[in-house]
Amino acid sequence: MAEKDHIATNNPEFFANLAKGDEQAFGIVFKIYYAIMFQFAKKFVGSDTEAEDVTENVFLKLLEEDTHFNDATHLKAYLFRAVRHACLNARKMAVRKTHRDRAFATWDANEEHDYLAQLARAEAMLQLRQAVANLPTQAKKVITLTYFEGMTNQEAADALELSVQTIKNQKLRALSLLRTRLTDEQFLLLLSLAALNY
Amino acid sequence: MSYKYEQQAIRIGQLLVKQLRGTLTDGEAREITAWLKLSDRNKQVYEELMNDHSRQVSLQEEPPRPAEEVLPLLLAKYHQRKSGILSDHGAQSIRRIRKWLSYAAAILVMATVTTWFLLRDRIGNQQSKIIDAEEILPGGSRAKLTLADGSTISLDEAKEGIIVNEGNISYSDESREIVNLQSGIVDQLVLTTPKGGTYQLILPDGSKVWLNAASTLKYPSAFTGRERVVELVGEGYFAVAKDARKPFKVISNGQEVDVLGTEFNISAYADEKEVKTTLVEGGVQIVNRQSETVNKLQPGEQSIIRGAATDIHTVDVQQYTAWKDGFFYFNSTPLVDIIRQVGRWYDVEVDYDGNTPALEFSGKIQRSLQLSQVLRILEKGGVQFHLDGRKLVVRP
Repeated sequence: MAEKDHIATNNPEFFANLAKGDEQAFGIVFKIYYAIMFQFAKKFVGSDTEAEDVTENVFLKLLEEDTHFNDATHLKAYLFRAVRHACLNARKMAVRKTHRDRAFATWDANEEHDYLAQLARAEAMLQLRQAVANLPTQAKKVITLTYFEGMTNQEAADALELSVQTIKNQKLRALSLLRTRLTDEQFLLLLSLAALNY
Repeated sequence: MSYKYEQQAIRIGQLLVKQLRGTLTDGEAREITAWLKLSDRNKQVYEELMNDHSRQVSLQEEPPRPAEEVLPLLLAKYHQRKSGILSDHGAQSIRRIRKWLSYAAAILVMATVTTWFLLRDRIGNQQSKIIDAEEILPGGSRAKLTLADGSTISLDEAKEGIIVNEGNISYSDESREIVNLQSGIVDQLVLTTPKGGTYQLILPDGSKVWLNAASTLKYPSAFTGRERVVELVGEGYFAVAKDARKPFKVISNGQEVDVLGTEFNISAYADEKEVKTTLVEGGVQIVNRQSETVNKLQPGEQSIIRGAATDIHTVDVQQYTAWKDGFFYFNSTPLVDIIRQVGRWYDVEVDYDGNTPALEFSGKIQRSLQLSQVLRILEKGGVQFHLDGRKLVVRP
């Protein structure tokens, strides 16, 4: 499991603070889980705006309530279920408005399967995202531009205002760093990124 | 409260990552196998995660605004609510007012776009406070052709399209050959447009495709099989030549469109979570590859695929096809969608300063205008823009 996730997992004090409404603790939780919860919401509602609304409301509620979580899994389970409920409510509202689309009105057994399947997917994506987030800053920049955004060395050099040679050096350094210092996930991730880029 | 099912699903998610790392124990592998048998949804998720390409695409998905940007806004809202300044009720009425404002803005913009052309010279001479940096010109005829061996050719910006013939690819005005193809071999070819580029393509069967900005079409140099299959990422308008014996298929993110001969538009950008197919004439069949549901469209209808869900409704077709005739066309289109289109066409990066304004616009704007001219039109609707190099900042 990735480092950042661990802060939340192994620290009972952290969850006590979160329950008290400590904003720093909340900020950490928010930064770790916001993107993945947004993506998760997006699987069940139509637009980016709706997914943003739903996700923000769920986190706002988390901040306002004084729920005490036992560990990160407990917290994640809470968030996933809250997002799902919020999406369901958003749909009900939409149906009340339009009446036309009956498909949206129900949440049947298939939806339940879909919910749990998407949840497993979101958790896997979370683990992979965390691996990227934990790369050293400079390496992350170079790797992000060249592998994620498919830039050539020249383009990355222009974007970061560095020479092409520096980019090449940074890449080599990043790679050797990755080989020695990174966790298995991070290395795996790099390999799969490389596969995408041929 | 018990979260038994959620916790099980979380465990599966973690096991799937272990599988990717190749560190699964036999027992864990059995857990995954059992989970796969539970539902087809699980199988789809599994396949999506194990596929290098689709996993990477998912990894690149980001919310419109990053967590760092949303967090301070959320905390501010929390403090307001705690101190009772903004009740739930208050928040709702603000939303309602904004909605009315957006209607008002829409009417204003319609009027503005009409008068724009009458006033354009005068407006053009005014010094804009906001945009006086280097003019950003509209996109044009730009594309890259990738051959089967991976080599690429930049296509002539003075031409509008290419035609795939037997034995070669040439410009569609037949002015000159671009590349010779070995006969008897079917090559997989790729046409790619950058941001700010469009290009046309005539396929070996005579079907015509308009490729919008930041899009990719994969197609063979000849349709030899029982079907004509092409793959699209981004947006394309298809006028498919009739051939009842050889169905034409367009595959894009999570959907398949089966056609015999017809005209339609598909928008399947990777940065938009929806695949929209708009039928102009004829008939098409939409296959949602995730839920494997099949729907037929009537002319004037649009299907929207989001994950396993397919939604069909009637639309103003022009809104989705005007780009191929050189226009932006909006009909109560949310500002966010407009800005995304504008960003793609003028090749600018977009950033929102504060909340995304909940405005809607209606009207028609030429895609040949300079960016500053388009922004000035939109500004009449109550948005503010700031242009910093190629970065466009939107302010409510």
